[in-house]
Amino acid sequence: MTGKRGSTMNLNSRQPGKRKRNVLTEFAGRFWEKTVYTLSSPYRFFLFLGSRGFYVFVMSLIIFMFLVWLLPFQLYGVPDQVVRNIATKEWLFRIPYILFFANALACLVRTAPAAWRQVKDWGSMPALSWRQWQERAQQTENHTGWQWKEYIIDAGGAKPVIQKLARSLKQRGYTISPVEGSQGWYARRGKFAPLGSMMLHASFFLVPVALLVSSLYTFYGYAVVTEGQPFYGQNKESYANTVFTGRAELPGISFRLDRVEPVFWQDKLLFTDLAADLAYPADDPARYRTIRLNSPLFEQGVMVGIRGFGYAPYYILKDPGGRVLGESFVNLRIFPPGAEDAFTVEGFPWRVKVSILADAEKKGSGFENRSYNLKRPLFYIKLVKGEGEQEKVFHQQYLWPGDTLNYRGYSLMLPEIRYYGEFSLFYYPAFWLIMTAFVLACLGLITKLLFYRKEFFLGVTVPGRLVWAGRSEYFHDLMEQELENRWRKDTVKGTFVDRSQNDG
Amino acid sequence: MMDKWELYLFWLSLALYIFSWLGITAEYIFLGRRFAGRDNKERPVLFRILSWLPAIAIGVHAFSLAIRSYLAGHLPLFGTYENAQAACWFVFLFTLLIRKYGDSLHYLGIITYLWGIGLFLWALRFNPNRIPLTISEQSLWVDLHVLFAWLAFGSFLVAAGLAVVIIREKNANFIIPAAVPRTTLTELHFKYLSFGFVTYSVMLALGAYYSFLLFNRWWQWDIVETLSLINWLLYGLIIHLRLFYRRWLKLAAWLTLLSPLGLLVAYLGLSAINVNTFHSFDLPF
Repeated sequence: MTGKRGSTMNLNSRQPGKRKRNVLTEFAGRFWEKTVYTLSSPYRFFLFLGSRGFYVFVMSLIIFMFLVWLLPFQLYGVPDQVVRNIATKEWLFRIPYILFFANALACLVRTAPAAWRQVKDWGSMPALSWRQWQERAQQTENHTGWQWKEYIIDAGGAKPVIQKLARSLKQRGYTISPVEGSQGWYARRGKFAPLGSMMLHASFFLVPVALLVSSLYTFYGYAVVTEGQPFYGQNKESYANTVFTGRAELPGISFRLDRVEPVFWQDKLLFTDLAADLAYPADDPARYRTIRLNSPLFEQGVMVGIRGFGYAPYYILKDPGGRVLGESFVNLRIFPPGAEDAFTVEGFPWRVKVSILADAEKKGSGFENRSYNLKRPLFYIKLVKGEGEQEKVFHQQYLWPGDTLNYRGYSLMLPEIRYYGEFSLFYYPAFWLIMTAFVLACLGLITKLLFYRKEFFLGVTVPGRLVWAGRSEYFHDLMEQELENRWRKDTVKGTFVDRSQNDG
Repeated sequence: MMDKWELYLFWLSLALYIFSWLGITAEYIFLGRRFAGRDNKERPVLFRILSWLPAIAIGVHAFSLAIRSYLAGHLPLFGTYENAQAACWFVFLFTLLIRKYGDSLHYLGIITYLWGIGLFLWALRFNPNRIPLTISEQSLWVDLHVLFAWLAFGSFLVAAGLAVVIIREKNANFIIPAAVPRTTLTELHFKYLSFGFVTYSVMLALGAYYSFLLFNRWWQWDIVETLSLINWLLYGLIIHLRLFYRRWLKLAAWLTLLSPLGLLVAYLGLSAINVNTFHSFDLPF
């Protein structure tokens, strides 16, 4: 038995006739052993879940899935909505997200107490003597990137030099405190750096909370309002489309649309402005505000934004007996000029198809559109029956505002044209949660990566000689250069010597 | 008149950029190793002047872009012609700033200046007409969003340049002379990475906020957004590798070198391959 085991243990030998090493089996064996070992204790499993190795695995998985599953579809031209559905609703994607959040949570729980202790200690660190200081430095020597560098500077009148350096560091945001038993100063910054990664990771959890809140209370409404007309948010009929989630209700907001103004660049179809003047509340306006595409109105927790505009001609249709069959503004999708839309009126046998030249100009026997600005509108009217290929045109003609179209005794006038605005009303209580998440994440990153920890000791050991020691959380070598640069810039002439090199 | 000045300065800056690269490359070939680690004052006058050519180039280019901004009424952020130029400007600026840590480090320009010039030349493929901003682009949020994107792009590209040197560490004098400690290079690599990651994150947050104002959605899953998200996750991964897995330094360097491909496609490449995205501003006017 022993002899047999001995022969199989010699896996590295590659002599002919001997059994070859099976790397895959070995890996599988080790993997299985590790898995069983990890899962056999809840604490070990927790440690594994919050480990950096697990993070690397999950993140690589997510990146890989985005690269092979989403990106090719998008390059191929699959609509963004489909991609969104794949990325957010497919379980194949949701599982890595859940693993990511589990990793972040476990990591946070694991590391938060230590980070908090670091912050506390940093703030309440007592003034140490130089000897104590060196001992402390040696204790932390093994920490990644936290080695100390020590220099001796030959300088006449060291104390004023130290004071000058201390002042200079203070101006740069360092906290300065005296070192006991020495004519020295201790300078430090980056107290809250350990909290930076906590803030970043904590911010991730605000996103699912925001999703939960928005799934319970979000309202989205889409409304079309013509210039001069009121809009009442609590009437469901005022909306063209509404979406409620959970227990959301219609918002109580109301307004009157005074003006819509699109602005174009030259004669091109390039919007340089789209503004809407709102007066609110609708019945007794007390406040006025101009909103733009990227500048919505926030009122009563609702975001009112303008999303588009169109033309709304006023029509008066009379039958052969002179009786008015209908008169009203009608919102038509006839922008940009050339687009056609239609409306029907009860009692009128034809559909009225309308297109428009916003700034008409006579050219030869016809008309041309000079610009997209509504300066000299000219309608082109078709009276039709049937849909699609079955459509048959019975009458067609140009019609200026105020002129009358007569056909088989019926008369149609379009005396006026106005703009209408398309508005979105969005009640989204999770707004501040997401904003907090963004701010927290950015602040966390800035704290962790830009305001990292740095410590300096400035002291005099031998009269006329200045000891300058320091360490940096990430940039050890660069700090050395910074020390030297600062020394040269901020002090009187002296020789800057790397003591470690001298001693060596 | 101003039009002409913009054009003159544009071509002058391109010429200066190219001469900057030629100057640094010549200096590296003929003098690089001999003068590595020494004070700049010890260099021959010709090379001392040449080493400051990039600073003159970005100054001239800044004038050209300023005139363009004045005439167009907005920052040079609209369309690939403007964006590629701005990206080039930031790449040169960030490479120039690396000299703060040692004169020998400016040889990094042999790699990064070449990329910057490539970006500049890429701009020439696009319509140079000055077009006013569409409504959706007229916002301080967009200006900040783009500014942070440039900052991130510039620092990531310089980090990628440093990654090339780190990857070729066995060749002690490759681009950066051996007199510069390799630890300094890895630290600078991380410094640029971390600055880039912070600015990139701020850029994404600003973009998401503006997207919410415009479309009532924080994230649209537009192709540029997907690419940006992939890059953000990738840079997060690189930073974790760099901080906690020292033995995977080379893997981190390789990833830093490859990641800008995604940025390049997202920032400047999609309009060339005609993919539908609302981040494309190369309008046919």
